[in-house]
Amino acid sequence: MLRPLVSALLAAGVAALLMQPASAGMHATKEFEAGDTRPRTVAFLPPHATLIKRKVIKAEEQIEEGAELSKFLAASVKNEFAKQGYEVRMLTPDEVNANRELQELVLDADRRYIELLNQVRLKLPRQIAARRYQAGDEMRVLATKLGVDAIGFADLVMIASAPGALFLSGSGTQQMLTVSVIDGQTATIEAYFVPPALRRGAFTGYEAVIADPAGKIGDMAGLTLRDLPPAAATARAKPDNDNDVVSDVESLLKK
Amino acid sequence: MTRKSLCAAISAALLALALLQTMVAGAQGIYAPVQLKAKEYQSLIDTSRQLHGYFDQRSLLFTDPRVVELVAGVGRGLTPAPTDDYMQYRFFVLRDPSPNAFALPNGDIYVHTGMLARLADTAQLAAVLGHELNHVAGHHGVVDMRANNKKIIAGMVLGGVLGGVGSVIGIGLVASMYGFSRELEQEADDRAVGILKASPYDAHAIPEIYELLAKDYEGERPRVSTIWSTHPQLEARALRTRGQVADAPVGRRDAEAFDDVVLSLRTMTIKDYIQDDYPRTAIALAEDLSRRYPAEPELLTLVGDAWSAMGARAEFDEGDLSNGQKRRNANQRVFKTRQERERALLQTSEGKAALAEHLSKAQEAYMRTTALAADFAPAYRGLGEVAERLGEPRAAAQAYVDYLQRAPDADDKTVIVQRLRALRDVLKNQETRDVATAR
Repeated sequence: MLRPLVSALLAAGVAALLMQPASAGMHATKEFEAGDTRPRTVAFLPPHATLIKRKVIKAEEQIEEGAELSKFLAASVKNEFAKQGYEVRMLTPDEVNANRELQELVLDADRRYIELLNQVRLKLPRQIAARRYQAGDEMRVLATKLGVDAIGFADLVMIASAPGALFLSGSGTQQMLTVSVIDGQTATIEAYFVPPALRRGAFTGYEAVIADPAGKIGDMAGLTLRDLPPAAATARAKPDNDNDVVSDVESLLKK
Repeated sequence: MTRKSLCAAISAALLALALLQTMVAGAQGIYAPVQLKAKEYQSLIDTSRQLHGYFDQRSLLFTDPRVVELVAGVGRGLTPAPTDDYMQYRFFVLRDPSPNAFALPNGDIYVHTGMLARLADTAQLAAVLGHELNHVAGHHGVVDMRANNKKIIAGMVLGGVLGGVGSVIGIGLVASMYGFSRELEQEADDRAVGILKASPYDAHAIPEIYELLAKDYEGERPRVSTIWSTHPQLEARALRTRGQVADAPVGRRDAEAFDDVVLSLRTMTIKDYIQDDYPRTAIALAEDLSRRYPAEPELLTLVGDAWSAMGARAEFDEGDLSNGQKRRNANQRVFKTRQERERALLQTSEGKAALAEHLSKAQEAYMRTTALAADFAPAYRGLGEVAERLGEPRAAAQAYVDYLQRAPDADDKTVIVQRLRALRDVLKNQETRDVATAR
């Protein structure tokens, strides 16, 4: 009698885990959820995909394939945001390299984001709601320069088993896609998306990823950004004119 | 386990250890042509070429033609003739503030902007390139790869015999993938001495670069030597090479010409250190530069920015820090955000005193800048930030207005206006309170 009960409880537990609430993939501030800091326009820095081929003895990073996957990643993330009504500008490496000033700003923002991302990954991403992750003025300057409400980052790490390793271990592909939205005014990570833990692996392997990169990455982006709320153009407060602010302060200083 | 089988296991382990030591210690560069197997070519040469594309894709290539030409020019003057058709010496600069340089097996040599910013002259640049050239000329990538493959197999054998020990060696191997073995590094050092002695550059620059690199301004690098540590200790390398160049004549330095080319790169790197939260490094570099060019307002402002970024941190003498303290410092950076670290420091009286002192030093540097060049806008922005942190909203607002008057199209105008917006509210509240008090 006890055995079927335990089995039923275990099955229910596994089912509950598999059917995690949709919000498990999104960590956001209250203001983002309410729409106050949700952008209408987002500029994404060139997304990066890292592909590691796991062989029987060692693992090797596939640099060229990683670059190709980055293009699919850019297209997939753009597509998911556009579906929700966001106006997306996806910066390309060529565009960045052609403009020295933009290159400086992008590299500054990139380094700052990597610093934050390491902390987000080490600590609980839940703390995003507490506005723990401040990116600083670099992000504000970049958002102004690009004329957007927010800066976006997308980063994918894929570890895919070669046929031999797949045969031996049975584990195919582990993938971790993170997408962040940093507000151009608050300069904090307002929203951070990761796929729920149980959906980060697949029994496919390197060959399957290379055979259909667009499909695999598209699925991953869809899964990760499933909880992205629609763009909220009206909720976002418009600040008063810059020149008016300066004039006001000048008058106050004269008193 | 019987006594006989225990003896057999110990004997096998000792034999494997002896074999492994022979393999590790035997690594030496090959300065003659080396034919690569197809797999080696793919792993080393193709990957090297792909890496260049990767750096380009990540916008990491620093393309200022004067700087690139300076590095390439010095490099070309030192390169030996390539021994293989897959080898061609090329020189690049990577936009990265960490002081580093590295060579790839196809002959591509990269120097970080953070390395160039720390060098004093062309001879020091030649010393860096002389070292890296030997990694290419001696086929160190091939030698290391072949040795590593043997070591992986030996590690697996050892792992099978001794359990845990093999896996510890494995960690060492992972680490050495990103640098060359101790023997190959030393070989590159030794041969760099020969290259510089045969060149017009001053060979005495070689020990100087190790002394420069040994400086740990932030106190975050524990000096732990391990059996598998990839690089010999920098201090030991400085000492060893100092002996090797003792008899060398004084050669070319070209300090002024070097500075002329890299000055803007130096200021960019100092800004990077400030932005990346390495203020002690920024202070050291900015003060040195400002001492050398006292009439440059930009450098004086950078000194102010660096002191302002120091915030509530303590100043220390690097030599006084224990390894434990350095490790704690490094861990703090990983686990706590900048704001959390600052808040924690400000809860102590030492932290509060440090903040007051550093802001005062920053303010002094900005005031000296405005005395030197009254229209140099960034100094006013700095004064505004200091006043804001000191809780002086009126002074802060005035300084920001002064800044925008001098730089109406500044990149960070939106940021400053956002601060002014907050200050406007504070000033209005203050005014209301004053009126109420007067009544």
